[in-house]
Amino acid sequence: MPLTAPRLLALGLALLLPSAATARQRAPDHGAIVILLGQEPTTPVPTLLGAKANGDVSDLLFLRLARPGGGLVTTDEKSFEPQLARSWKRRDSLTIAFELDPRAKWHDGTPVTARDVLFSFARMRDSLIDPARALLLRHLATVTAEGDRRVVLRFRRAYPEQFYDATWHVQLLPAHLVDTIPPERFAASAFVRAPVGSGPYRWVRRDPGQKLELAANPDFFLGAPRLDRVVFLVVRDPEAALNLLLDGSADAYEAVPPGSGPPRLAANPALRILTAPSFGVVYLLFNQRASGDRTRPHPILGDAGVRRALSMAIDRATLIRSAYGPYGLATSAPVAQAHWTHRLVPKGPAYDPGAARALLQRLGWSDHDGDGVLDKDGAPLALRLNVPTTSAPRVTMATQVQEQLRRIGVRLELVRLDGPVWFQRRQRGEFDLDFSAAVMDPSPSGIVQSWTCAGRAGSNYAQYCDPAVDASLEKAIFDPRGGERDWRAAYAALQQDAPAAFIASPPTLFALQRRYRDVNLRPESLYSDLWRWSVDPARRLPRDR
Amino acid sequence: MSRWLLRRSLQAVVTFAIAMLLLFVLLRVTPGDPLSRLTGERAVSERELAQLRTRFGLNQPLGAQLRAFLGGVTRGDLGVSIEHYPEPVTRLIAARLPATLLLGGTVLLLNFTLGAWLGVRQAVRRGSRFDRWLTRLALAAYATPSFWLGLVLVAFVSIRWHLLPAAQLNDPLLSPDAGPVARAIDMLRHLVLPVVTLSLTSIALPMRHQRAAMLASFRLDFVTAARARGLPERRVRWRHAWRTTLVPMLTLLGLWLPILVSGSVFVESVFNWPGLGSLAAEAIAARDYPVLLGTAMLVSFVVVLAGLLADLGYALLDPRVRPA
Repeated sequence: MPLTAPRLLALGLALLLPSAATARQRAPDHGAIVILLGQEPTTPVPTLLGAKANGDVSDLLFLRLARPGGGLVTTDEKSFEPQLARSWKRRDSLTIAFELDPRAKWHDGTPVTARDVLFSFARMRDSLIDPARALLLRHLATVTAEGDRRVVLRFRRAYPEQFYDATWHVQLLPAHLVDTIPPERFAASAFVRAPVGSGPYRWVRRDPGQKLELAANPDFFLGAPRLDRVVFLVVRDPEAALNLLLDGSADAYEAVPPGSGPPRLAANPALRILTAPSFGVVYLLFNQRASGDRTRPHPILGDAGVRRALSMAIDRATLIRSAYGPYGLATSAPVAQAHWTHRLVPKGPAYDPGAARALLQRLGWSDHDGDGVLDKDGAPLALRLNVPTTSAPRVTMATQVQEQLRRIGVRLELVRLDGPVWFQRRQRGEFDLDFSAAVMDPSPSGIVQSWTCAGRAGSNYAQYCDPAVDASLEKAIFDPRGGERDWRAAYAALQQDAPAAFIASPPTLFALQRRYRDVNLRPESLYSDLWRWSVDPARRLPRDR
Repeated sequence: MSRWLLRRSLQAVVTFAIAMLLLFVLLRVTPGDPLSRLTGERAVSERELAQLRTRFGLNQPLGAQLRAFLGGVTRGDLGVSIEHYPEPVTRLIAARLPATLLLGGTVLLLNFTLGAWLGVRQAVRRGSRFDRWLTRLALAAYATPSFWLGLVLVAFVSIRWHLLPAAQLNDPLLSPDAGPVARAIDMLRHLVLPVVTLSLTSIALPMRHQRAAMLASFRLDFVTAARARGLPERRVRWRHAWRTTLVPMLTLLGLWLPILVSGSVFVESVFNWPGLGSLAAEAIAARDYPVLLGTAMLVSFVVVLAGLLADLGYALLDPRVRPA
């Protein structure tokens, strides 16, 4: 068939017409959504979660017994919302009994029973399977079943976050499908390739490096989702992600770059930007030990006075404005905006370069040789800051930190490293200062992982250890009568010690097409309420039908 | 001829083996922890890291890792990806290869048909306004960075005019029930902008090569003789002059063949094209050694093979370089 001009024209028109292949009738507020992720959810299955993207997808497939209420007050068990547990009853200060919802079913139709709870807790508490989670569940003594629908959790000690520990750390796995898989083969099992959960969405498929697709579970016992198809697209380049949003190919993006993103997206009236408080904290970590040699204290940063002076010399407001625009929120402790204890953090050291320089002077640091850099016993106050080039905000802020510290006579060398090298050096303690960012646990007690003496065996990369701080954190976290005053005292003790210069708790910038209604972004799990979202019938697109 | 072919094939195998060995060693001595992407910025204990290292054999000495790699290669097993665990590398490559072949193949086809044809036209109309303007335009496009041109095309064609999709290989919400025609049209719509971007920025090379070779060919005695014999100009041009230009064009094609599998990292990134270029770039960023070695192996293989084929092509096309 020769390609005549009319045929070429017809082919051209066909190419320019949007695909109509998705046309299918659905209820008026039902629809579909394409969500762009900068990180790939490779194993969105409990015990294999790791990266945040896995957790976000896993929360649509797997449920917990209960989840924290909207205020995320992890010590208030009355505020928790039921999920797989219909109700619960406290028998004494150490024991909680959960009644499972009889309507709850796995995606293959099998009912969720006490056996699943026992099996899942056993897996999560096994330190060989998930050491991080096992540590978080260390206060749990026993998990027993009373019949098919009731489970009883008994703790070793009474403390305010018992209920949170009982519910948050464990997403239930289907025992009838998983208990025959040896833990060491679980990650490579067929179950992980096509997980079966009990949540509002069921697994459709994953194309590695490209996309992951879920479909609504019409039998979801808490109500059928109104977004019938959910496609997570992996787009590592933020510019490509913004383009996909702007041309209407995608509906949501959770990692809008705070600098270039908002002005570009504002040009499209079909889009809006939502902000959700996050559990992320950005800080300059001060190494307590000599760079690359953990047997010796750091010659400069081993002195808490120097650390306090450096912290005072940093103008957080300027850094946040340049990196996050109007969206950043300053913090002066390892506490994120979404933590319920955020309001308890005492006001940190004010930006005062004069006072910082005076403090250094008192500690013996002066510019004896007139080269603009402070020195003591012939050694200059020179430090190196490791910055991951994968984080544009931190790269932006690093140059400003360098300039701000120069003003008080500190020579700071920036060491820009690509992600894996930066990570490796942090693990090995090969840094003076490290521009860190951490996504913290929803509980403020997660602080113990990186800021206590016990954490030195884990993620306390700077080897920070102060028994007084440990004691005040222990009181705030574990004293059953512990309260806001104890948290304030613990944070004040940390601020006094200045193990880091805490800078910001940036929120999640979330771009979304305006056609979605009933949107609620939860800081601890952005998409856990996705099944409640709907599409405005007046703004439906062909692909929603 | 057969001895020459055998010797040349052996050379190719040795070259390939040396390239692989160098790649393996260089990758392992490059600083950076491949587990960084797996854990993100989450706090990770030493114990958890140790478990992950054992899983991927990263706790083994370099020699043991090399032996395991070579043993796997002989069985056709390139190992499993660290980032996409437990996905086998061969499956990841097989999943990305079609997109790269589609993009690279279309660009190659366009450049060596349209480019060659335009080069011949320029040679025939040497010094004309057409020749001068096409040269200027082609060189200007050649000097333009492909990622920039891609972004400009997306800004206008996709975002402002909504004519073609901005990125991806296909519509993510394309129904699984969609027929082959709907799928083909959808894919073509997504293919246009990446192909135009890559072709515009690279077509100058075959075009200029073809033009120069054609002009040189026009000066050859047998072409003059053909004209003197009164043969039609069209026949002189294509049957006599153009055929002699095939050897230099074949050299160029040999150099370009690897584009079929290597992809273009920048263009794949701008268009979120799920090809081998972006897979390799992700593997570099993640220090995903098995994937990186697998993609590098494939590219090295095609480079060596293209060289071998080009040499064989010369021998077949030009009796003067044919070995005794």
